Amino acid sequence: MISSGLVQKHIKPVSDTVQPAKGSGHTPFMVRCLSLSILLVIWQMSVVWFEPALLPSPLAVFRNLGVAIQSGELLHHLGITLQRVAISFVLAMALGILLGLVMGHFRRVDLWLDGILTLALNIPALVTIILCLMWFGLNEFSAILAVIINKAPNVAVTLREGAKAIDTNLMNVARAYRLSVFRTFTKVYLPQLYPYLLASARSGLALVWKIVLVVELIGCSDGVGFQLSTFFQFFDITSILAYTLAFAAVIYFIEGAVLRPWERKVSGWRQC
Amino acid sequence: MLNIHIREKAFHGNTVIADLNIAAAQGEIVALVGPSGAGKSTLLQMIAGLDAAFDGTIRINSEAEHDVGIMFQEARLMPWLTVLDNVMLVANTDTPDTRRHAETLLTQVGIGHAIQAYPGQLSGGMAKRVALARAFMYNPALLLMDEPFSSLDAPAAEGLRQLLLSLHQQTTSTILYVTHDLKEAVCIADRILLLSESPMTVLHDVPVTLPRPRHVFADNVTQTSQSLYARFGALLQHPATVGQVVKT
Repeated sequence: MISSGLVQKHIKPVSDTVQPAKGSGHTPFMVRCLSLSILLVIWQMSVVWFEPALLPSPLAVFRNLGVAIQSGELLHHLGITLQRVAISFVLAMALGILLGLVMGHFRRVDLWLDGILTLALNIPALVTIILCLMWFGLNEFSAILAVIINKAPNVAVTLREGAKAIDTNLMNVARAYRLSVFRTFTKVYLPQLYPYLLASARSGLALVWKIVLVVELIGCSDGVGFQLSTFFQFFDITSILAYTLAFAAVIYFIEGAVLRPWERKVSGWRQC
Repeated sequence: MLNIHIREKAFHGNTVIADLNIAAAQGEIVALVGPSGAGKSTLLQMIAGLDAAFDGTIRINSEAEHDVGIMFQEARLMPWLTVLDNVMLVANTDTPDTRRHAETLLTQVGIGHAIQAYPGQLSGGMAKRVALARAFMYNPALLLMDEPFSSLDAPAAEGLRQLLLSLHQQTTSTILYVTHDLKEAVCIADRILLLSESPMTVLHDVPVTLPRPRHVFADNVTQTSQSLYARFGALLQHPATVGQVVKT
């Protein structure tokens, strides 16, 4: 370290001032498993008060799930639904991000589109789904378009706030040091948007799942939503719960394999 | 090396800078001293290219890779990057050599043990040290410093001033150092430009001939700054400046 003797007398050793990283605390995975196990136990205990047709036992549901997987029926319909979810999620996120950033950075555009965005946010999902199916027919395009129209405004609103919260002081550092556009985007701009992107992705995934199922229930001849509609007609609660469990497993997989690792990667510095 | 001529800089119809001429040689440290709010930070932003709305010319004649770098009043580190990555941010290439150079600079400023820490884990003084290392990593022909140590306590600020002077000896960078504290200016500069406010212009160009090294707590620095204040204090007008000099 370069400093004079006079200065060294006054400067606190820097090693004393580094804040230690916070500990990881309890194991979240164990806590989650425990809470789900408790829910399973409550479900099993509740079975005695209801008729099996109304509330089947967890064992019966798991058995049904096994049969549906073995027959290939569940994987077929789940695959179709997942495909719809993936396509509409990606398109809705892309459109919402673009719209949100433009609105956040350009006040005039924000002014022009704000009223339309408010309207889009508040139209019931069912209305847009029915209108899309009636206008464009009972096809894949209508199904995906209906999901995008429902989801994109939510993403846009979140990303608009993200764009408005961009720290101009940090952007000025990038400008003053003449960072390239690519480096400014990846190292300075994008990291400020990560919390907003993550929030959009999380809420988006949950919403897109639900809307896709409604679309399939009303206007498709395949997919999990279509299957649920069939089970509803036969009052087959066991199959409905079996499909719901399969659904939950996929969501937990996406959460654990994609969203949480991404969150740890981009927000790890906040834990320090 | 540096020639600045600002005919006019206005904000909402009010002229804040008028007929301002500043020249500096390569390697020179020039302190800009004036009342708070005079427009010193605005001037630095104009030189750094962050504010292009003015009438005038700024010429930097240099063969260095980078023309201008700046150290702001706040450290302005990227909270999501480690200390090392914050310094590497301004490097043109990411090679083992540039990483070693960044690590050397961080060791020189006393942060060598914390290069993998995040800015949120650092004290204010440490963050300023990282910002100083970043500025010298960029190694510009002209380094602009906007009251960089004003938020620190006196001993910490003095430590960083000495670090700055040590790092500066290893480069050929010219430094424009903005402060409202005459004593700090005497401690650090080869020349002091005394600025007026409303509109800002150069009132006096005062060479500082005290031998180096200089320390802000040393008698010769105190005496020189008091003598300068006696001559020019009235021109600096702003009460904050008067108070700070008289206290010494």
